[in-house]
Amino acid sequence: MGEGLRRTPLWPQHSRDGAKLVGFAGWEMPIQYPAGQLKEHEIVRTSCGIFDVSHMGRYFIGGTGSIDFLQSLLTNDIVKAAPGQLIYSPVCNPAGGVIDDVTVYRFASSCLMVVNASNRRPMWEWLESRKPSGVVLEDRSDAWGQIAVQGPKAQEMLAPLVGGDLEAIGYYRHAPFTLQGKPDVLISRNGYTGEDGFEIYLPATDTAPLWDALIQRGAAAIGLGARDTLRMEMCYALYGNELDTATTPLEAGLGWTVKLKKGEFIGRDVLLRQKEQGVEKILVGFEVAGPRPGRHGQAILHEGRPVGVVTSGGPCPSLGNRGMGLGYVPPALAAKGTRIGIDVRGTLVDAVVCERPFYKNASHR
Amino acid sequence: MIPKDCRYTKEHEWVKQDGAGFVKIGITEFAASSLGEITFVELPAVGRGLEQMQAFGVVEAVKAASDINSPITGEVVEVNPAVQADPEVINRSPHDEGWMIRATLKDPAELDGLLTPEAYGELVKSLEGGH
Repeated sequence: MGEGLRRTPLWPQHSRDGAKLVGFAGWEMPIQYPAGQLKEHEIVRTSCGIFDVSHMGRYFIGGTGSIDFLQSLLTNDIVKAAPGQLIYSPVCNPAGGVIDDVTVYRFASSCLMVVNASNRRPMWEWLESRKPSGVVLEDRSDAWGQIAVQGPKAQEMLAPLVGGDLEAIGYYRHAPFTLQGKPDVLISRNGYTGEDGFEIYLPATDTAPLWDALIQRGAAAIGLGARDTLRMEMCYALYGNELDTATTPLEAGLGWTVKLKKGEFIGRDVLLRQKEQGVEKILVGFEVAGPRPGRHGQAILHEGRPVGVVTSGGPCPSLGNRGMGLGYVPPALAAKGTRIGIDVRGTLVDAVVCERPFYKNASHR
Repeated sequence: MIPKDCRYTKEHEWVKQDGAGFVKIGITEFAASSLGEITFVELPAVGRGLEQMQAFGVVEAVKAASDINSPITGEVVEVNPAVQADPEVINRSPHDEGWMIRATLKDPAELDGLLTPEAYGELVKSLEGGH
């Protein structure tokens, strides 16, 4: 593997279990295990898979004014979130472009912000350079690991290892639990697959025993390959594909995370104007005719002219490998049923704008 | 596994002599494994001409898509029906049951210009970086 790639605390597990390791955002990560991506995908849809997401950034934000500070950075409303809730939110630059999309865990007077691996540095610098004097930032990314447990049987797999009732955590809620005898392990009910499931935050040294216990109970290790097809079937945005600094949350179909009425926040002016005057591009889902799906970066055409770009695309394993994708088009072409074309490596492939999400039988609550 | 009786391209295709004046062509194990499970293969019709290092087909897989380039100049004489019926046969057996086309070999000297199994092995090793 390339020089300089970092390893998560679960690297020995991945290596031991025969994972195919690749470079991802500066980390040496499992793209798939010997079962293969399609099998892994199916396991998460029907049973339970576990994901090493320790490469993500975990930033604690506390001190005087920490909630107000976050309120000024997030498009979503952290003040309204009660302690014990988490919210998903874009973080925008003054032009409304997305610097990162994050999950924020609300505690009484502090928060945990979970950022994309590829954005650890930019987000840290964004926080550090804007924080008021009373706010304290703490980077717990390396001291802590993070495991996602996903699938209709996630609760059944995890429950025997937990002291306490997991059923008590609602969707997008979190609570501390005793896990394998260790107190105060942060567990939330959320995920990136559409299935029911949990994210678990624990000291790096405790990740391997939990991972191995879950494997022993019958959960399957899932790589980044299946993580991508699972999230694409649900049409969840992936930073770097659907989201970047040249794209606003309203363009990305994340209007539900933009709370213009909450007061000032960075990017609000642009988002308010877009809300009033409309956007120039908007994210749509599409299905191709035939077996060649569009892929990230390919041109979307309408009546022979390029009108946009594919941000994600590929076969959807839960839909019989039908070729689906996401991409940006002008709003006039965003209606369901609109016929578009994709330039698939020099071949014009017919496609039609379709409903999102692509997969409609997900088990999340 | 890199069979000794093949020559290779830098783009991860293999070519193997298959009777006097004929070759079989496919993609390597490294290529198949990098693409992930293959969902569709587009291959040329029998009789179509092949030009060395020109694309003759396409592989669609769960992770990515890739052109398949011809290691040699010639003409397609047979297309493997097994890989069209069940593209994953390429993942299971890239160098054997997963062959893609059989073709005439116009100029045997073209084979000498391709990577030897040893040279291709070095290339794969450099790409895998020791894993």
